Amino acid sequence: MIQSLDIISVNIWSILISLVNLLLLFLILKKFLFKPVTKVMNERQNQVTAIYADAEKDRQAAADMKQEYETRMAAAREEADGLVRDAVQTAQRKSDSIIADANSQAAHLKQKAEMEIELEKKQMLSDVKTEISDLAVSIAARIMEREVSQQDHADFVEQFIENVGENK
Amino acid sequence: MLELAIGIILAGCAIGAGLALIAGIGPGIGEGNAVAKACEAIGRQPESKGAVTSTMIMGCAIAETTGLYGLVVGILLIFVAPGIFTGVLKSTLEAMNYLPK
Amino acid sequence: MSKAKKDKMIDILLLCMIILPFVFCMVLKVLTTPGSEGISITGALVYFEIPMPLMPLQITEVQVTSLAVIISIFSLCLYMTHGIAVVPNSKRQLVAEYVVEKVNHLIHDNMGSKYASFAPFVAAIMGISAFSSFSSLLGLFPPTSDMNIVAGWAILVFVIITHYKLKGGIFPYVKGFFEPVPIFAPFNIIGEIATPVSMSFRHYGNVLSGVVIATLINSALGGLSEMILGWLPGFLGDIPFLRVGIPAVLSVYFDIFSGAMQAFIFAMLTMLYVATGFPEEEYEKRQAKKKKKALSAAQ
Repeated sequence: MIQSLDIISVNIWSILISLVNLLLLFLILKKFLFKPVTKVMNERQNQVTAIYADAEKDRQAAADMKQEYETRMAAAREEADGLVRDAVQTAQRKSDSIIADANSQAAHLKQKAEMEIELEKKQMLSDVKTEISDLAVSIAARIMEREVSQQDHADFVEQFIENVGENK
Repeated sequence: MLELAIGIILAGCAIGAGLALIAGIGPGIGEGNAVAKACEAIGRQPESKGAVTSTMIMGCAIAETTGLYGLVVGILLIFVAPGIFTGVLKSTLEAMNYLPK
Repeated sequence: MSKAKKDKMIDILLLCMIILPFVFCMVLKVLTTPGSEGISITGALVYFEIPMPLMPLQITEVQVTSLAVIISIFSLCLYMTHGIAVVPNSKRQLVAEYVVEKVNHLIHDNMGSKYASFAPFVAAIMGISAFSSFSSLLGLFPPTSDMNIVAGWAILVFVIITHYKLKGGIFPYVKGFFEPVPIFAPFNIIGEIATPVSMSFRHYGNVLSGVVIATLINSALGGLSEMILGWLPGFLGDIPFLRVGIPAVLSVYFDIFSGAMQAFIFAMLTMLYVATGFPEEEYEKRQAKKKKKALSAAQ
């Protein structure tokens, strides 16, 4: 028959056993729960710190790279601007000179042409004059049938031509 | 006569247990005060409800100790003491040869 | 066998090891409990006695359940930390880390960071107390409602408190009893002894009151169901139907709330007693003196 204890009973060995039990559980928890978990958490902390440091380094490198890129970009832009400006200037100059050339040439040609025209006109006028004077002399000789001195004749014709020119 | 003596022992134990549980008054008043103050505190500062509640429960549990001493004594008087006292009585009577062997 | 399969096998084994001790206790209890009528509020069942000096060691339900609790917590620790990795890959690792972090925070808040090595001890107190109180949910006799068990813990705590008090030297410790006037010495000594007594009585009384009330309610419900449902034919009339479910409501308070509360309070008091009992100034003075002595000896 199994007995049961009184509801309050004191037993030294029982107290000792429970004391040892608590110590045992303390050691168990320390060895099997706190040690591995703390170890893992510390490791993770270290890793996170390392990752943060890496990220900081990367960020720094990226910032540096960006800085460099920006300076380079600015330099390139300036260079391009300069090039364009130079090209525009050259082109301007060239076009100016071309236009000036063309203008001078045109003026030259015009002058030449005018001169030629003038010359031709003069030639023609003198030609016509001699022709007309000759004609007039012959006509006059024929009409008048009288000899006129060469000098009188010429004066007369010239006068006539003048008159013709005026009447016209 | 023996039956009467045992009856007196049992009655004494029962009365003693009842008296022991008067100890419940103290923690009752004390915890009531604590809860009243906690309610006041929460009414004044509703945002500190969590801290006040946990502190109050902690304090109540500690204030309960005296009541529990009374409870332990009461339980001892009802479940343990009668057996011990009647045993003592019987052995004393046997030693004095009052009881038939 | 592949590694994953092996891991799974170990997991299952550990899970079984968490549950099986309690199952064993329940089976043992069912097999050995004598049939009884009426109310019987008694202590634990005694399985056998081992003769020892001073008084025989009684191996009771309580010892068996305590052992079961320890095995169960041990297996739980192994289960939670099995396959632990730097990058958490399972929920149980998170639970383990949560527990460890919470206890560390508690220590840090209540005692200060130099007591960090106390964390496993406080966790052990909480774990063993809470598991022991919760074991009454399974119908076992909770070890915390046996005074010997709780007294053992309280005595261990008392030893630790005294150890920390003695770190300031023996003379200040003894002197502490004669303050403020020498007449107070007996009261101070009683107050010192009252620490473990009140700690153990508080815990034990709380759990025991739950057990007593649960037993009373159970027997009352048995009588009530016999009165109301006794007319049912055959063996149906003998089954106490009212006992099903109703006591569970009570155990929510008496077992879960009270058990957890008392575990927390026991741990809290341990922390406070140790932290406040440690004479910091005396300790530092003593250390400084020791250093000086060592220095002068070296010269």
